[in-house]
Amino acid sequence: MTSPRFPVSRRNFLKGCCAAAVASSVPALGWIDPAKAAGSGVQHDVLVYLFLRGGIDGLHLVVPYAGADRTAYEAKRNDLVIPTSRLRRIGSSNWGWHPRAGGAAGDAIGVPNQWLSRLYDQGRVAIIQGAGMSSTVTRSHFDAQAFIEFGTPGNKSGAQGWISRYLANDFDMPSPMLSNAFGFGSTLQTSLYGNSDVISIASGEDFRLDGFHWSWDDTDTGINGHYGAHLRVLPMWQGASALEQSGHAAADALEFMREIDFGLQSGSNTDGYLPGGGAVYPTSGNGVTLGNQLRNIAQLVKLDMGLTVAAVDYGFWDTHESQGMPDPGNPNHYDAFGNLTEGLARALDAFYIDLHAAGLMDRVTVVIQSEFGRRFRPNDSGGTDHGYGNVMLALGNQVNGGFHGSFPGLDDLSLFEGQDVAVTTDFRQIIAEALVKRQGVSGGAIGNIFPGFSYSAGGSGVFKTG
Amino acid sequence: MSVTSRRAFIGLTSKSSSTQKGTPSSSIFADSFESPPPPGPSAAIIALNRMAYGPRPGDITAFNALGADDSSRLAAYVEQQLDPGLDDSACEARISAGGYTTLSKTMAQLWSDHVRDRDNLGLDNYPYRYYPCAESECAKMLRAVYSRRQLFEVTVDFWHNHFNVLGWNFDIAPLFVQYDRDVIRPNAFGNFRQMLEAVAASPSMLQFLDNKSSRGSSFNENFARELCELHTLGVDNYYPGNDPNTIPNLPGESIAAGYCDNDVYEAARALTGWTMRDDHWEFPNTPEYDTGEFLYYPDWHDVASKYFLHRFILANQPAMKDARDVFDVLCQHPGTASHICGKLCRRFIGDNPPQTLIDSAAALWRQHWQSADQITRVLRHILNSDAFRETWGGKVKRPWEALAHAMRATGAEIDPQPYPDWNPYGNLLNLLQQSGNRPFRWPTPDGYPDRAEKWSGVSTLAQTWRMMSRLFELRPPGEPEGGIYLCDVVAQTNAALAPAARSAEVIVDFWIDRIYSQSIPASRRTQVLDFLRQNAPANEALETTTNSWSANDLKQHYTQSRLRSAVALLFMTPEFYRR
Repeated sequence: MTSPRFPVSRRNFLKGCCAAAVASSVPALGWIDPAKAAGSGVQHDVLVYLFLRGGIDGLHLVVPYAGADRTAYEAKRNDLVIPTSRLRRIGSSNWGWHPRAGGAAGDAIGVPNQWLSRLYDQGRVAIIQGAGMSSTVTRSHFDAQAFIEFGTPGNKSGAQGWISRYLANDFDMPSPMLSNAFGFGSTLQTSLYGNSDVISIASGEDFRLDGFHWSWDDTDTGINGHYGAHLRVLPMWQGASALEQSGHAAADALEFMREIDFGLQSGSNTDGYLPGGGAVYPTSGNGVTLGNQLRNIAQLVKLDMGLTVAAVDYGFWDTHESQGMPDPGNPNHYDAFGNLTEGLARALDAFYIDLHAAGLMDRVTVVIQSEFGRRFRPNDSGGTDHGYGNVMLALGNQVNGGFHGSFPGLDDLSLFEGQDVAVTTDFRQIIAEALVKRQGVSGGAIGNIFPGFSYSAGGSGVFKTG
Repeated sequence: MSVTSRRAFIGLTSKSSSTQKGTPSSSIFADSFESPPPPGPSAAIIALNRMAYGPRPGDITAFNALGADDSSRLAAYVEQQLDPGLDDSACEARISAGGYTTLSKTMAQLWSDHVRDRDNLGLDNYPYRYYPCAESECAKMLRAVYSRRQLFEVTVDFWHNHFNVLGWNFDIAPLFVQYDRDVIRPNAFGNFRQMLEAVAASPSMLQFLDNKSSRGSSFNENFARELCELHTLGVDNYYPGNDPNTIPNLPGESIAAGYCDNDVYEAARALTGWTMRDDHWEFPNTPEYDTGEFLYYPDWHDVASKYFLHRFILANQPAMKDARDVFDVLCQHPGTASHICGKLCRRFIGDNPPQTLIDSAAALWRQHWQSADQITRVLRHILNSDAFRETWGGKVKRPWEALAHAMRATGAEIDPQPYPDWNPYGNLLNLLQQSGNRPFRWPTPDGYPDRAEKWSGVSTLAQTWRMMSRLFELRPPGEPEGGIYLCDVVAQTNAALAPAARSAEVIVDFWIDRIYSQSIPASRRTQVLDFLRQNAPANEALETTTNSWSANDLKQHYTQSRLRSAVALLFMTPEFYRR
């Protein structure tokens, strides 16, 4: 496959690359530095930063199963206590998955674990407990998300998201065909602010300028001198202002992505994308949009165009009311949180299978976090209110599966302000470790990415080195 | 950092690195000044792009006739727009003629029809359950395009975002007409304290932020938190933590300078019992408890004393007084005045309005916190300010605003309907939805953001352009090939220009005038002009009455389609998105 470090026309690149990448079962990323690939240094991976918007109730996803935490849980979590018989125990630990992390509503406990639970059993999932902002407390969605995404807890007045500062401190990134950084969603994530090269798209299939009348929509190469109307847009977006630069990037991206078929391959769409390994991205339930976006990311990764970091969101976790109680084995029970969990689990599973079949999960790491956890004691509406400490997750073949961090405890004295899970691991430590061990950022540069934060090189051991 | 070698190789122009100064679109509040910026656009253009959804044909002329200079014209226009007596009968007639069935229903009727379906008409199922929201969206579109009370419609949009609920929601959609018609619209130019209580008591908000199920000592904090954080004081006045004694008082007053988490919990306690008649099993089992209307239910109210922003609220107060005391404290607070006036200034002027204007508006806001025309007074103050008159280009048009402007400037004839199956309005609104700005679809209580950087992203621009490329291809439902279009730019071109005058340059300049009311940079105009003229000289008349294949002579190749596409391209320039 032609490496994008060498000049090549866009059309030829895509013609050559698409087929090869989809058909290949060998990691074929052209921008691997051979010296590093041999294990002599740090690999350069693709980082996917998945933000669970709304404050996921981590205690409802990774649930106390045994021991002192279970005792406190049964005493204080009232109507939201999930019986142990309804949990998928996580190995032999004192914790269990919400059942929908590993099965559908109608799958009883005992039906083999699927999706996120199965990936954990295979050692691909790290669970970091007691994670959050150790230096700053806020129960405001707006502030918490801003602090986390700017990478400056306590301060939201910056102009750059942490991902933009990461990009400025990664000197080993491939020369991209479009951009190293993608944000999936209709509005740009704060973590990507301040970088004029970032491409934000909500969906690959909808990202094209194709509403004009057919006679002038596409360039007709059979008519001498005929050019599609869309080609007039890029030349109109010249200029130095932030708006003009963004529009230029948009027009550029539209031209580039026009050549890529993001639809699923089918009888009527033979040029479409075929997920590897038989991966099935969700077509119903809460995970459809996330699944589509992860599928687009997988497709872009396989196209080997230099995608280095992608930000994606999955929302509606703000379960102040009627969170729901799982009843695995009963296909029709109400479980709003469970529906969200199943969507997450299925989308991540498809993403993993798809890329793993191409050998690319050795080079892709997913880091998952939320803005805060939720209160230990539920409210009277069947839900939970804003809390503090939470779980973070990481997924990939370069992840050391298992539990990380130290769970601070649910007894009265251990609860933060007497009401919330405390924070024992700063979220920046986990992200920084991914940047250092997987993205090749030097430990010394972490202070540029997370100002005021001291990275502990001994680390939490979430990610493998090299 | 990434290298743009690919762009250079395939010959695309690299990004300009020189600073462009002195263009008509520079804001006076730009960060650096090397030479004094030239005068901005006229007051007419500023007013019609920021107090309105863009000019309809004739609006600029009408504005300029209001006075002898820009200052007096603007003042007169502001008064005209603030006048509740401004005649809008033509727009109201369109809404009446739209055949909408839900817009006049009472809360009890909405509940009976679209939630309980008492007449067994299937109205509680999709899509009819959602018609109250869908028809509210249709009315919003009609008003954006046709209402003469443009400032009012822009302000209503502001308040809908400030007090955002997710209209397109299973529980809220059937009730949404009440929220728009009875809560937001009547108070949009009026009194904030009154609007706030109407919001708190509205079934839509009671559902959205869970207060309808907040009761007793195990209250639900959701609404109380957003009440403080979004609706009144704002997160800049938030002191995280649970000890109110760590917060200072306002200078010279006995009220706290801001709120902490404990205040949120106290406000939640004050609001317990504010619920709705939804046949909850604890209510008496009679029909009057199943109407969907607001209900204060004393059994659910926490009667113990509260301590909110250093104000002690006695135990056992009369019904609803605890929450009203909370509202009173919040509405008198200078933090609320600053927060909301800051948002108003950002909506109407630019993302970094002068603090002095925010302060003077806030002082007026606070002074009139009990006046029936509080919001009118503050808007008058903001819109007549130097900052308003002298700022241009500090905001980015959001996709909804861009769509409304496009329909106004191109004389759209629309009759939006919430058909369950495909129809051009469904197609259009779906494209708007992909741009991330479809009305009543923002899922969190903070409403659509109002900062330029949130709407300048790649996805927003790309999806808005896609919508524009499609807009001019849409015909009314059932219209055959060869029939009229929703925005019939070909028909209007042919009506305005004699055949001999229909050259590419005249046509392009005609539409530039309609859309922008001023010139645009030559570099943009040239692209559209060259596209429209193809191989013809710019001053040669085009044949705009036919639309057929002509591959050997592209100036005649599907000329009408090309004209529509050219107009669409005029909505894809940087200048269009600045306001």
